[in-house]
Amino acid sequence: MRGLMVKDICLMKGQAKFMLLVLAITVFLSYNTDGTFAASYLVMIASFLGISTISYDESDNGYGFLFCLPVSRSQYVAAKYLFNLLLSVAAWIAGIGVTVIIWLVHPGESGLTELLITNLFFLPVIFLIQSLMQPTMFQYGSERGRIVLFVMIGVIVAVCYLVGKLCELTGIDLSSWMESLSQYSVGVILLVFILLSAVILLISVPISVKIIRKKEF
Amino acid sequence: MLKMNQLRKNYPDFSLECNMEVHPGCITGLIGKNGAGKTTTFKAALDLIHLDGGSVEFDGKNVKHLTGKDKEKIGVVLSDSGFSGYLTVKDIAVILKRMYSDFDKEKFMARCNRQQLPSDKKIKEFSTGMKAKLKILIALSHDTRLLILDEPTAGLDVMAREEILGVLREYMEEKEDRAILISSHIATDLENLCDDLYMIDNGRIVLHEETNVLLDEYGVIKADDTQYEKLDKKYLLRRKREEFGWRCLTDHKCFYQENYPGLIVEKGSIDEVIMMMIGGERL
Repeated sequence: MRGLMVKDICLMKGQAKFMLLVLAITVFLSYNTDGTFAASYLVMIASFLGISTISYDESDNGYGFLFCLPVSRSQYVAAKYLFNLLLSVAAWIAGIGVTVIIWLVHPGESGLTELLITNLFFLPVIFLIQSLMQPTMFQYGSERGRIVLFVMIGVIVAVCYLVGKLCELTGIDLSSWMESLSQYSVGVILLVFILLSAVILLISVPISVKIIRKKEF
Repeated sequence: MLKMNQLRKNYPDFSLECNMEVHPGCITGLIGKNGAGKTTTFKAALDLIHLDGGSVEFDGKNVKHLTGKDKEKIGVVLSDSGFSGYLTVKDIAVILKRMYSDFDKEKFMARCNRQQLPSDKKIKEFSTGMKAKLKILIALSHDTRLLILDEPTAGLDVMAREEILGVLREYMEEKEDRAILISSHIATDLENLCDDLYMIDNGRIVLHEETNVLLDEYGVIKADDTQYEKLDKKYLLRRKREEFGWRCLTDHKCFYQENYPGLIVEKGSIDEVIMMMIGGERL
């Protein structure tokens, strides 16, 4: 499994210049945006880079050869999840780092603690992105997978909108329910989000393993 | 060492059914025209496709259940697959070091250097021949017991092919219990290398024979209609209508040479045997 992770790191080396450029853009844009931009932008870029390692593996029927190496299909999936999570978490930490440095140089309206807490909410978002992205990429391949992923995100947004509308029509007061959450501390809410997203991530892994085991190369 | 029992794989427009065995100490060749089922057979042997029937065993263990340690004993070259073209030879050395417990990085880099494979250039920028050489060097980079090589010499010139075939012979001489399963569209490569040959056509094994038997005892008879009528046909495997009469394939060349003076009986090359087995009419 370590070999597979090393392979992905080697593939990422080719993107080093691009990553430095992205970091420079992040620093530049973070000056004029709110304190969540850096982490969200870098996490998004890291997710796309993660997808690109799957594209590299698929190109020229590369999977066939990879599964002749001393690794199982489940180890491949585990390595891919681990690598992409580490990449996203590293991007998230870098984003928080950029936010903190910019705040120290140029303090904004929000306090640093508030900024950090807001940024912590990206951790469950990372888990959810990976939970959705990985099985989609394995099932449809990186090219079609990207389109399917955007469609899925669209469907999720549409479902949320419809639920909201239905609640309005049926007289269910969502806003009071949201307000009732404020009785809990931010820490508790964050912990619940992290746990929920981690559970979804853990469910996603065996789904991806099943998908990749079914495939022929 | 490698055994395929009643292997069956069905596609909408193609089906594969074969039995095959690769013994320790032997180089076994698989020959057949494009689309005959060679690559499908290799993929079945490597558990890259799901079978509709039968099984494949390596050292008595179903290939579906091979562990990482078991897979370390197998070196592979696939005709249509390899490491990502965005990696370099240096990257591959680092990856293989993490993959195989007995990978010798220095030896691998020295071999790549000898083959003039640049270590810092991306593989996608390599020529076809360079890519083929690299694939073989990767398969030979760790201590394996079995090499499964699908068209390993494709794209190589005569000199490079001979060099690679020499490396494969050396590999076999190093340890007695090693084996190779190899396919090639260049029959002469296999003629000079393999101990036994399987011939595949349209997903079926049409011939399995030891190479020396094939070269010594198989022959092609060229007979006009009168000669053909008088021939004892019990040792004829295939026949084909020609302008001069009949071209026939036999696995008892000496029988016809001794009993039919004046009859043209030629030594059968592997290419001719393939052409007759596939293109000829069964008697």
